[in-house]
Amino acid sequence: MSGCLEHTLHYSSPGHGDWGVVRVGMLAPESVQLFVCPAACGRHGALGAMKQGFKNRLFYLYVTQSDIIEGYDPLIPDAVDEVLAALSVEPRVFFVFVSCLDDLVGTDHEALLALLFERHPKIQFRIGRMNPISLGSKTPPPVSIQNNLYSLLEPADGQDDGINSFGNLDRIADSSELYAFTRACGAKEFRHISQYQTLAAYQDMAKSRANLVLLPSGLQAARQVRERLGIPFLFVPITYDPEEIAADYRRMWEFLMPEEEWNGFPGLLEARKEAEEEIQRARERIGSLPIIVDASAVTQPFGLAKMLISYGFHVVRVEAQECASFDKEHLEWLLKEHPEVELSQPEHHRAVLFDRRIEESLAIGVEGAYLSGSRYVADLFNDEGMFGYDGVKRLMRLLTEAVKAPTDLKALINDYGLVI
Amino acid sequence: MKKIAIYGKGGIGKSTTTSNLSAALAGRGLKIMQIGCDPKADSTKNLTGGRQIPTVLDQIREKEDKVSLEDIAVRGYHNVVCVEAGGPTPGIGCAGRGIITAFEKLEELHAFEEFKPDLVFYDVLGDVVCGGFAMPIRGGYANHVMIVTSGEMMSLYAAGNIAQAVRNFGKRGYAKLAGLIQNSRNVENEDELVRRAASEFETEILYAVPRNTAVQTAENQGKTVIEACPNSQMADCYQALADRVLEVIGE
Repeated sequence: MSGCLEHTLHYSSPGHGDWGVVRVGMLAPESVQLFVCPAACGRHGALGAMKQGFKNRLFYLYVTQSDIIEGYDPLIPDAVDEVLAALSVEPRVFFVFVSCLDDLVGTDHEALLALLFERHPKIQFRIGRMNPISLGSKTPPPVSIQNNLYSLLEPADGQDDGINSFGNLDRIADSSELYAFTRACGAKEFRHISQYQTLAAYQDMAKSRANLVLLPSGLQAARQVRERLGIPFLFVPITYDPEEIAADYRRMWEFLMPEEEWNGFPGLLEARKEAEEEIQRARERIGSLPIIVDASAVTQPFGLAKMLISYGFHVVRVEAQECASFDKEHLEWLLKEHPEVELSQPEHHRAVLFDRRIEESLAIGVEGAYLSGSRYVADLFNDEGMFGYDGVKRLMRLLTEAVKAPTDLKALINDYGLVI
Repeated sequence: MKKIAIYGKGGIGKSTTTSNLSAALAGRGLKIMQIGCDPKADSTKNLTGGRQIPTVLDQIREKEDKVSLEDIAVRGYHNVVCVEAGGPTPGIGCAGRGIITAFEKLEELHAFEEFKPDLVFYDVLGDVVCGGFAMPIRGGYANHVMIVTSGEMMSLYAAGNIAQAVRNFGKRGYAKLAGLIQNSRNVENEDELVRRAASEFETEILYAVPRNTAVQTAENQGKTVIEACPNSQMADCYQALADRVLEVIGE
């Protein structure tokens, strides 16, 4: 592994991911979205929305060249009115998404929002950005959309003992010991945005006493919520390393229960034991089959590679475009201890050559599978629902299941639909 | 056909200078086309009796792909073909994109082939603020760039920026900086200040137009000095400038 991450002409594979700003934005209860963009920019999203069942919540205002030159600010309020007139139930949240050309046109979003609030005082309006040019900035689209989601939380009358999870797009699986842990920390509820059907019910998250940020795209939102609503947060990026999980539970305890001494949480040791047994079973089943760890599957691909190698798995490649700061020490460990593990960037222009095929392999992540032509695929995006020892167990079962039969990758990618 | 782009700081007198040049050269029997590249769309109004003509962008908006040359090109004084690119209300939209779109439309309608002008003047807004405003300097557009400036510091500063932009594009074989046109404001030591700037920009002063009330008198009538006061001292100055312009562009 060279550890050298390059920025070259980008290749974008069809296995790139399944959560775009549209889908993340749709987590907002009772929300609709209006995209303001040229027709060609909207085609992909419109088709994807139909396929993913969002058709009735997604609208488009296609702007022409003349609109761009003249400024399309005045067209938006009327388009919003048209959308509202077409809906049988008035939404409570209305996202107006602008495309990257808006960064050049410089629409006055504040003035637009003020006008929309004036016309429709019962609706929360937010400006969303579909601008890949901001990907290298501090607030790329996956971050700004989460900022928008949590900006809908308003100051609550009082605080309760609830705890929120931020950043993760899917709710953590019910089987996770994290629920029992948060209950032990006094929380009757461990809340996630996806569980709310109405904006009013969603406001329960504003009552919570703490936020656990499980994926980094929710960090900026958590900081804003701390400023605005006074809810403290702790960043606990999802990991599959039992040692790190143990340390994370201790950190969470100290954060959530600063007055109480950490004596280990009942059940944690048992959960860890089960997780390690599951790892051994998976190890025996998978044997020396080459493994490719892909960043589209997990937040810490280098961390997962380290963990798997430590438990005797044969990791041959990590597919990652970047290395997050919290995953850096894992990368350094790999560079030092296992330089034979290959680092490959899925968006590197050389990826298009498809000259690194390892067909007889198990890929953790669809994009890695696509690039390597892996026969076996563990179908996972964004650590979906995984956390703690339960996450380890579920991941190991996923790997064990994956090697039972070759995966029809084309069908898998088609079933995901378009990234929107 | 030669094409000349006239640049300079906003309000420095680009349109006045360009219109008088157009009028002077048209009066000599040359076929002239003047294209205003400013959202204000007032470059040619002293060639059309003070009347603002429909802009290319207005017509595109109104008639979409049915715009014809007759909709956007108006004959002015001595048959000067007057075109205004137009643009958005200040503060919204994208004026630079507007200029590009207007140029594309003129090309699509084969305006140059149709009118066969001997000389085309692009009268371009203030400074090269973005790619759109640099369009006239690019390949296929102006052969020569002339910068209107006074001896005022901000005007010279803008002139420096434009000269730099022309130099940058010049590496690609685009328009060449032909020189400065001094539009005097009676600033102290003005001739020396502009001369020094020209030397720094590695160019020359083509002509120093004096400050004269005839300009205002003519504009109040919606005319150029050439049209309103043809026998005035100021008209002679613009004629002399026209001579100089023809000389440097090799006509």
